[in-house]
Amino acid sequence: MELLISLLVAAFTSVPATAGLTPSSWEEGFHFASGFGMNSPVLVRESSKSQFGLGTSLKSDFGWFFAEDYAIEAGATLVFNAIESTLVWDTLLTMGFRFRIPYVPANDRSSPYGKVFVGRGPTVVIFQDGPPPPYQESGANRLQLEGNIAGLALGVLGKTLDGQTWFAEIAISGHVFDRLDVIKNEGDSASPVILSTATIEEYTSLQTLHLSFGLIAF
Amino acid sequence: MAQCRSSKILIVLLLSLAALLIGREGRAEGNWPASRGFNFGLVYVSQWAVYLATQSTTIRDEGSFHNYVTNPFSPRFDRDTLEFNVIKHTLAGGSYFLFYRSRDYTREEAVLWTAMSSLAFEFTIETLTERPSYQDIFVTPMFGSAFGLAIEPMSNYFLTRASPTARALGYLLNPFRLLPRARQFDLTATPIVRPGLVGARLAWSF
Repeated sequence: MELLISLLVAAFTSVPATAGLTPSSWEEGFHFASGFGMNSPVLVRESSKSQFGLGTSLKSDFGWFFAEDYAIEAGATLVFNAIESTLVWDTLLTMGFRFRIPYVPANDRSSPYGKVFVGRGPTVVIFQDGPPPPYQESGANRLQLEGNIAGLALGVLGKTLDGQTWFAEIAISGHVFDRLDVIKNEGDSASPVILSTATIEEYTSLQTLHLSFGLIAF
Repeated sequence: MAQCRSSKILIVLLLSLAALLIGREGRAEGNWPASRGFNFGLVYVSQWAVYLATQSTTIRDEGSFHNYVTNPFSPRFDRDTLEFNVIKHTLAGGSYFLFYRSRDYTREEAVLWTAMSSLAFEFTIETLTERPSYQDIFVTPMFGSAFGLAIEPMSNYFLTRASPTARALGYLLNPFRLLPRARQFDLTATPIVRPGLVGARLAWSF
């Protein structure tokens, strides 16, 4: 609450206007980036590992850039992948800290950056061809796992010939699950019914390699 | 407990971003409360209208005043389908973004006001039937704005074509372009105070 009040007060003090974000100049202010990419997750449990193939991702970052070299960002990444007839939909909701890579020269054509992020989010496992044996009797449609997220990213900002700033980023994230809900939907528009909820005792995480490309909208 | 704390931190940070926006616009435009408040109010009324029209069964079955009062204080991760959490919320966020853009907001302002409208929906409308959803709070402005940013230039392109079909497509992609431009309309409220009568006369010119 104290944090909120102090930020509210800060809001009414001087905040400069945003001029733009380019590789060479991280203008102070709000900036928005959005893009898409590929992912390759591994589901790691104490007793086993399951490697997924390549999937698709969507991501958006909205952040406050300051002091030329830093930013605090809210990020949302949607990860889609499949293994046999099961669709995995991972949602990474994170807060991150972006920084220019020190001692690496940056110019108007490109500049490298790093990012660390933490957050929490759900991963939904959707049974496309009916539920597997443990859930057949209940008629569950999907599982939802929740857990904390942490990750690192390395990226580069570049500029096209017509001045559009773009980014390319490689990231690794770990999503460690601590809760499992078994869910059933009677129809597409019906409210979901939680059939059971459990705490996950065994270490279970989704470790994902992301490769993303996109544009800086402003 | 840790889960609850981290979730609350996310909400506080998002609300703080919105607070920064209000402070910023307050300095940039002398009359922001009138124009910005009016536009935000239009979106808010529309949100209520769509919610009541599309969720009447859910409201009848699960809605209560108790929910409305207590739910805002217990946000959570919802269990909705991919269709709701990704597609419908992205479309909703995109429509907020395009509306604010049609009112001459900058892209930055439109993203921030989209986030404000999303928060208003999650914390003061949908709470009638369910707790605020972290996925919706993030997905609606983040992917909705991205969707709007992609749709807007496409719509603009089609609207500059001579072909009626192309122009119709432009309006179909962004129907808010049919609204009069922001600076072309005014809302005027004139108070009426007479013996035995207190009221206001509203006029909308565009």
